[in-house]
Amino acid sequence: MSLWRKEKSIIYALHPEKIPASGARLTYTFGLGGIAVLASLITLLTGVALTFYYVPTPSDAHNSILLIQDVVSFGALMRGLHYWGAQWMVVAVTLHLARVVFTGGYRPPREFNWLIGVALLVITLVWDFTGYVLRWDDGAYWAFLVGTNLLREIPAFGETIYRAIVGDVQIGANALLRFYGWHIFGLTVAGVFGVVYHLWRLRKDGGISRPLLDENETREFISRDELFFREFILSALISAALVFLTLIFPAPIGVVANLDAGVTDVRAPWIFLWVQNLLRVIPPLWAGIIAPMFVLALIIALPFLDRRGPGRAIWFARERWKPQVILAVIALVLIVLSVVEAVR
Amino acid sequence: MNADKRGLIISAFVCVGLRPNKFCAQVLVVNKSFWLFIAGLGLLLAVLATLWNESHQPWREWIARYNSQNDVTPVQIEIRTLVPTQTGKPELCVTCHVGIEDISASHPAETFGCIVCHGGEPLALDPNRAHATMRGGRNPSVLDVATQSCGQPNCHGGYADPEQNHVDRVLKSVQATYAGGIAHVRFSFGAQKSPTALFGNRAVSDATQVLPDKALRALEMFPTNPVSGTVDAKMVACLNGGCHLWTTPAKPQMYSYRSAGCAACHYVYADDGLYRGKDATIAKSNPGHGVTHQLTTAIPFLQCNHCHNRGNYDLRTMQFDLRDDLPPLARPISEQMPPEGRRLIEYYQPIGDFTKCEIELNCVDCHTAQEAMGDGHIYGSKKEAQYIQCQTCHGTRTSKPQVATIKDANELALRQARINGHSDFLKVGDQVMATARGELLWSIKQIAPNKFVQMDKVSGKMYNVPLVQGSKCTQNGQDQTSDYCHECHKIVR
Amino acid sequence: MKLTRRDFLTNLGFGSFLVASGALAAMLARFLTPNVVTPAPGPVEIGSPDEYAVGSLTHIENARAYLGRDERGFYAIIAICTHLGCTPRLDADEFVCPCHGSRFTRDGKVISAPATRALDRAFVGRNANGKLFVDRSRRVSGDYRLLA
Repeated sequence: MSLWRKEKSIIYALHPEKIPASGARLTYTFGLGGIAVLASLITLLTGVALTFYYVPTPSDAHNSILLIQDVVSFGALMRGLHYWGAQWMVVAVTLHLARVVFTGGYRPPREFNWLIGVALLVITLVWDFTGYVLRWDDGAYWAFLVGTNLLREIPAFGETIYRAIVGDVQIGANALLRFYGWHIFGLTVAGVFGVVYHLWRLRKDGGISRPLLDENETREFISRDELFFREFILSALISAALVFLTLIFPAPIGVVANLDAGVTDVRAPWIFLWVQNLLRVIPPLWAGIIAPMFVLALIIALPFLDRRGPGRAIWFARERWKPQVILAVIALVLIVLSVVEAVR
Repeated sequence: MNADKRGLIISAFVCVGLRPNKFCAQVLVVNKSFWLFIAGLGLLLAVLATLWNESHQPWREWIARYNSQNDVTPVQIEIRTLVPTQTGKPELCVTCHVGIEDISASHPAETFGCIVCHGGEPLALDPNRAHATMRGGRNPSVLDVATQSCGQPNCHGGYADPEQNHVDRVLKSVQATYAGGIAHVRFSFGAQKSPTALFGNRAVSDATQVLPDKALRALEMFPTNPVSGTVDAKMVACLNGGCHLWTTPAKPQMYSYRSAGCAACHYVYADDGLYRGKDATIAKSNPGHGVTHQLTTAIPFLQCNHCHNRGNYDLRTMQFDLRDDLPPLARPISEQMPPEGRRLIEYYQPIGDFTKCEIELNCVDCHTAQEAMGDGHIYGSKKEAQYIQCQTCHGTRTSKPQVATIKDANELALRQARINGHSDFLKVGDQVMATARGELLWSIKQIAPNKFVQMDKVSGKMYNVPLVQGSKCTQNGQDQTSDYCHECHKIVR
Repeated sequence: MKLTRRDFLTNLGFGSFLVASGALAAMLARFLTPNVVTPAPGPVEIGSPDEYAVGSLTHIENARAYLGRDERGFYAIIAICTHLGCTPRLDADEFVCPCHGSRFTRDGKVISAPATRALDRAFVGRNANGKLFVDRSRRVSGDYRLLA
């Protein structure tokens, strides 16, 4: 087997020679970053498959999804994996962020990688939202309408930004085509670049964060082979779980969008339920633009609010209480707002 | 045991919902071969489950069920695409509805497809998704949506000639407004001072400048939430119960199964309401379906009987009392459809008098399109809408029935004959009978001077039409409305 | 050779993984094979018989065909080159394919390569109302004629 040389394979090259065992502990990272990458790969591959049937025009978008869902062989599987892969990605990215905060993984020299990570979170959310819009069913259409109209609330530049994003003075064929372009191409380029940069920077910053050594303690390592083996097992199990999830809960698709008919129940995608809740009580500019921007700014600032003291790579280290409490409060507020909106 | 292994075990136990203990830890010997086995097995099971799911799609089951019927030629289990020439867009409905009857010879599926009438999603195969956007649910001809289905422009609506806008006419007809019934009950109970109709099922108005005799300008919509205890409140239940074209009977039972809207008349139901066609998705044992998925203008009297002749309203109790003398239902369709000889006894109200033509012909042989579907004007009761009398066809002692000549190939009477499947009965130049309002009776033609034949629109049977003139009848010409004729010509039971 | 339990599990696990991967690849291939395709073109109505003189060869819009009429009757030549499917033009008294230069006679017989087979013939029929139609989805032999 001279064609295949393990040490020359791309998978081999992508993994570090060895990583500290304490950093590879499952209960330290829960593999969340890896799960996010796996979910994005599954979403990416199934997304490519879906482009062979999806038609990004108002008249055919919804029809083509019904075709994929019901008629194309294994179309429901592809779409289901795409949908659930995307949801897992959002969850994994968010939890990964929380893990990094609660274990202090953002500490120097990793602040810059934290920023890349936050950017990837934003990309993930926009990716998810643009994908939701492509369904062009009742729910998606109204979320699209509301989401884009929020842009108009931005003082002075609102209308310009709206047109730059929507490509028209109202949502329609142009907007759908643009969101399609962003979804399958623009965000994909940005996302893939971001992930590669994130991982490269991780290596440059000294690999996965780990606790400082006590005296007399020697560092244990796991080999590249061991790391890859664990990834392989976890990936296989998660992929299988995603398939079962897809079979039991098929990806949702509603009735075709109809601007004239109106709908009884308009619901934002679950990641933006909290915004929808705020929109009911405070002015759109504050609820839809300023509040999310404020949350984002807080998250970006977390590592810079706490730059001293020990507690690296230790869960819930008391010395780093400030960022942890801030994130916990943000999470609590968003979850409560979302749950209240979901059950109303 | 080191921390890595512990992590893997913990995750394993979290997955199976157990708490780790020493025993379990020993069973789940942590080694690579074990995890490789679990991962491979997981993927394999996922693949097998997917394959099983793919081979058990609902549409496959429906085709299998179609094939399991004993009077069909089995078809391949595959997705069927119909591309109607009218739209040119593929429709997959016939995948599950394989074998469904063409709705009529005038509406072949290969030309019209399904979506143009029914709405729905052409490319969905999941029943819920495919049917979610259907027009009018199972019945696209319900009056709420009939203007978008049957009455859409260039079909049965949107023409300059109101005669061709059937749906618009039906919406104003007494069968839809039920104006007479409402007015009659309200007047009887003192809720209105005169028997002139004020309300209909829906508000309707007539913009014609000069109204014909007896026609009304407009009807208000009957109140949907009247004061409880009033006669109006009681009538709401009656109106929702299905005594007009807007609804079907609230509690359908044998003899009263029917559809709503246009289909109430044109979509024939058996007395037992059971489907007898080939579409396996329509339950054969579940009453409330037409005989087959077909529309017709050759409406048999039995279809009319699903509303008419079934019983009487009791004004005291505000209830509809069903007749108890209808025959039992458990009999084959052949006996349900043309029970020629037993018709008078089995179906017609015992209190009524009927002449020979009334028990031999079908209702639609005399009650014309304008009588049944209205003439485009609003009338306050059935009596004012109906105008065909015995003398329309038989004349009086002093006058012959009116006749008219078919002038060109596009004339309504010729088209009606063609749609009815009897284009060979009539040709340009023929003389047919005409009513007092100038409606041509295409099924009654003059074959020799003063000699008329009538074709039964349903059975195709031919009858001679005897004229009063020259007969032994001594009745004065002025007193020759139908009520008088029944005195002598009723059939004794 | 004795198989240990460990080897057995490894082989089973790895085997399952390979089978599952193969099945997933097959599913993807099946996914890419469409279940709804463009339907075969239906009959195209082309007017009444007397619009076409004996000896004429007329291009039929929307049907990708030429309607010919000779002493024996009507026939339709499908304007799809038998080489690789381009549309040959009727140039003077020859069909010339613009893609690779195949040439055919007025009857559709090959004059010069790369095509090796005569142009196909489509069914010509008459409607109930007396109009002619061409049905490209029904191929007929070169001898076929609709009697005038």
